[in-house]
Amino acid sequence: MKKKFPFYFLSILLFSCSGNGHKSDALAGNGKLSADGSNADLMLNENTPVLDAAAYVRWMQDPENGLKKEKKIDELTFSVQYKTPEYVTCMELRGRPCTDSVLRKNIGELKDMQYYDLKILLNDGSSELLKYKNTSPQQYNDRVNYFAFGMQNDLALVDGNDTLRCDLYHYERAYDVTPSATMLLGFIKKSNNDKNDKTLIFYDRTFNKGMLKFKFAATGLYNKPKLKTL
Amino acid sequence: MWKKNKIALLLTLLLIAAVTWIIVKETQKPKNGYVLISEVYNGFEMKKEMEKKFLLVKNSREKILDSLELELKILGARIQKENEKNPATIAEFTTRRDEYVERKKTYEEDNNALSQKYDKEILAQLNQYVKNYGEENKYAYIFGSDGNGSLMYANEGDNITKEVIIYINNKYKGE
Repeated sequence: MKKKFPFYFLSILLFSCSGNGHKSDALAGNGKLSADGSNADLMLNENTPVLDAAAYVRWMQDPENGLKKEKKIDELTFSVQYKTPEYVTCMELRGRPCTDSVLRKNIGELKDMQYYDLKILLNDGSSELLKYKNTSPQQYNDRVNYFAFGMQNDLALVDGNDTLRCDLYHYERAYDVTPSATMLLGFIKKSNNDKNDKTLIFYDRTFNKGMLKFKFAATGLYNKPKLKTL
Repeated sequence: MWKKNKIALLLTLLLIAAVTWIIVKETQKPKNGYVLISEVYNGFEMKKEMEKKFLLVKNSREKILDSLELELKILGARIQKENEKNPATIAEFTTRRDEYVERKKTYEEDNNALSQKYDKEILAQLNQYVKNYGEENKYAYIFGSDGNGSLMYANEGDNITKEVIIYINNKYKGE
């Protein structure tokens, strides 16, 4: 019996290791996309967490989950938030519970585009963003005009092999209230677009930071949680 | 017997504690590294992209200047060949020559300004990403070697140029 013990022990150890291997493969498979997406669909449906509105917003805004990207360059922070129709709905409802009908209506309205928020923040919060290192009233006006109209031409989204221009653009002017500027962006949606990596490209002309890229990996886009509705 | 074991156990524990302390101390020790500045700069994807963009603008400006120069040469040759004293042709030549000189000067200034603007943009991002690398990897100092004597000697093992290039390019791509 004593002699056989190491053999039993080794067998149990090996067996348990191989079992764990399968388990971890299955978990890893959750993050992978198959060529046609069918296997990924199956895994996604089994494991996708369902979150209430507040938790959903928190999840979306957590850079760890890959749907919010940030770049701090010197005194400025550029951040891009990918927005699902569910996220837009939650933000519109401002903490009120989301009903199934409202969500379905919003998904229907928003399904043809993909939405992002681009935010530029002055880190020290000392002044209005557009007044930062501003040399003259004329320069300030030029900046306002550029943020309101011109910046749209300096934005593009690389979606798989396509480079898309920014079709919807809105600058939320904050005046002296916050040291940041937020731009709401919309790009046309291609079919199966959640299966592609996406890179938002912004050329910053105002603060001389140059070409800024924000990459959203397909795995992150595909493995979003679901929104709990009433 | 038990007393002996107890002492052995105590000594083992002390040894483990000492080894752990040394490992923790070593890992917490701030690191120093250096990069070859020209290699980092030339290996930075943003620099390559902006260089292409700059050359595109510069070449199209040169094409415009070449066309103007050719027209001027043809006009000059006509005046010389036919010994033409037509004041209108001479006036046209003068106007075109002035235009050429003016444009050439403007383009040179614009090229310099554009090159400086792109350099400023590249350095803003490059410096930030190297700083991020240092912070993430707990470096106390990252020195830049550009062969001008500011860094006279460094151990080859502290050369982190390759790692930094990979890191800054991933950062630039937004990953």
